[in-house]
Amino acid sequence: MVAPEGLDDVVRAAQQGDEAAFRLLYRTQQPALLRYLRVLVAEDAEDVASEAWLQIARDLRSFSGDWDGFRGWTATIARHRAMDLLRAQRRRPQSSAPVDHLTELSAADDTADRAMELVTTDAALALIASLPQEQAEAVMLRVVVGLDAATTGKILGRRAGAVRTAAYRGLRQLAARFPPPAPQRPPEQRRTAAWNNPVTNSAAAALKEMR
Amino acid sequence: MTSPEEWSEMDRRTADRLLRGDRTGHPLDQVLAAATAPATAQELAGEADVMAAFRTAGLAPAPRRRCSPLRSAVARLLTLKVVVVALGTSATIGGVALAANTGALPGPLADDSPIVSTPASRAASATPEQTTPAVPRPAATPTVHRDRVTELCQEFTLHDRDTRTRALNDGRFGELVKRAGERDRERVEQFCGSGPRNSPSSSAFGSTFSPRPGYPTQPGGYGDDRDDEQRPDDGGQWSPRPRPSGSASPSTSSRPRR
Repeated sequence: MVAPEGLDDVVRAAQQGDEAAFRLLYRTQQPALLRYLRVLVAEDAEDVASEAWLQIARDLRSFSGDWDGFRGWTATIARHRAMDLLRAQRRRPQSSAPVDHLTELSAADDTADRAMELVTTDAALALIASLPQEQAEAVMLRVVVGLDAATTGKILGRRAGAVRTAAYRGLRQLAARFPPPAPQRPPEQRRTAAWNNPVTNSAAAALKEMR
Repeated sequence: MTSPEEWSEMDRRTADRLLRGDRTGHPLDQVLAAATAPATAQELAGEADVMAAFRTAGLAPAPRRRCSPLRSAVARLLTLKVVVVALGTSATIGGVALAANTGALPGPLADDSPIVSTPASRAASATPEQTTPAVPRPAATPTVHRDRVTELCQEFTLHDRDTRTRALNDGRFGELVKRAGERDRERVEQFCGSGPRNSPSSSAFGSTFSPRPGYPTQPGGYGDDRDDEQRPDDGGQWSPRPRPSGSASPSTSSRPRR
């Protein structure tokens, strides 16, 4: 992983035509863009992402900014392409999968060692996509694309404060699908649903369970 | 079960930390970690196409920002010379053509000449779009040199009245609005030197709204200029992808033990 300051140089190098630099930018930024797009346009995300990248490749030399700027710029392009598609199809952003399917998407498994695999990327994106659009976008742009509230606000055409509120609400809604935090939780609720609480999440909870 | 209200205060703090990419011990850690997990091969499957597009873009002439006065003066001089030479040549050719017309020369000369120039220039102007058949696009146009605002004007005036009004709220026209001075349809129409238009293409908003080069080029310039008064107030710095994205060390501490 390249440090962000290093990526500033990579952006500059790519602007001067350095292929390796551009490849690195693509590999670093594409997952975030693609996942953001999956929340917006579901199964069309890959097409829209490649369209966005063609534009990025074409216009990169007229872009001015550093790595932070690049992330914001590319997210803007991706969003515009997604909105073009939605307008053309006259539809609204939709979730990629109903939330009911989450248990299937997550690799439900009792093995604690596989904790990290219990929530798959697909399942996580489906969960976020089930939020109202503004909340889903706020969460994705802030957490996954890694933008700050002000930049996210610019992309969404909203104030930074509104973005913050939307992100909080989104996270709170997501959290509401989980049982309350571990210390307040009676042990018997633990195994009610594979998705809701597949594993214990903190060292404290784990210790408690061992007793 | 705690009601959402009861732990929303805590949640706001936790949410801040989650947004920053911290581990909080909350179950959402897992969800967000999964959402920011390292790329899969499938997600990077389009790399070859994108790289090809990058190479093609490198072949196209670079967008020229501005010329120095000296360079443009030299360019003008050169142009002048070329014109003079061309005049001289055409006079000669005119003579030749006259001769040909009058039957003084054998035939093939006139027939051969027009063929020469085409193929090379076509290849050079090929654009990335041609590599992806997925989305039909308007044919490649040499827009690189065109002024961005001119371009926006052109796009803007393609639309009918309603669509124009809507388009002005689209961040893509932010630059145009700024140049026209006001987010007002008539004002922008005036600026672009166009009158109202009520063509049947009004329903084709999506398709006429085709991708276009020249996205806002300033880091602060994308999105919508309604937010000009905003300043980054949570530090202004974007962290790198905030979440520990590797499957390595950060995850082990939160991993349950038996």
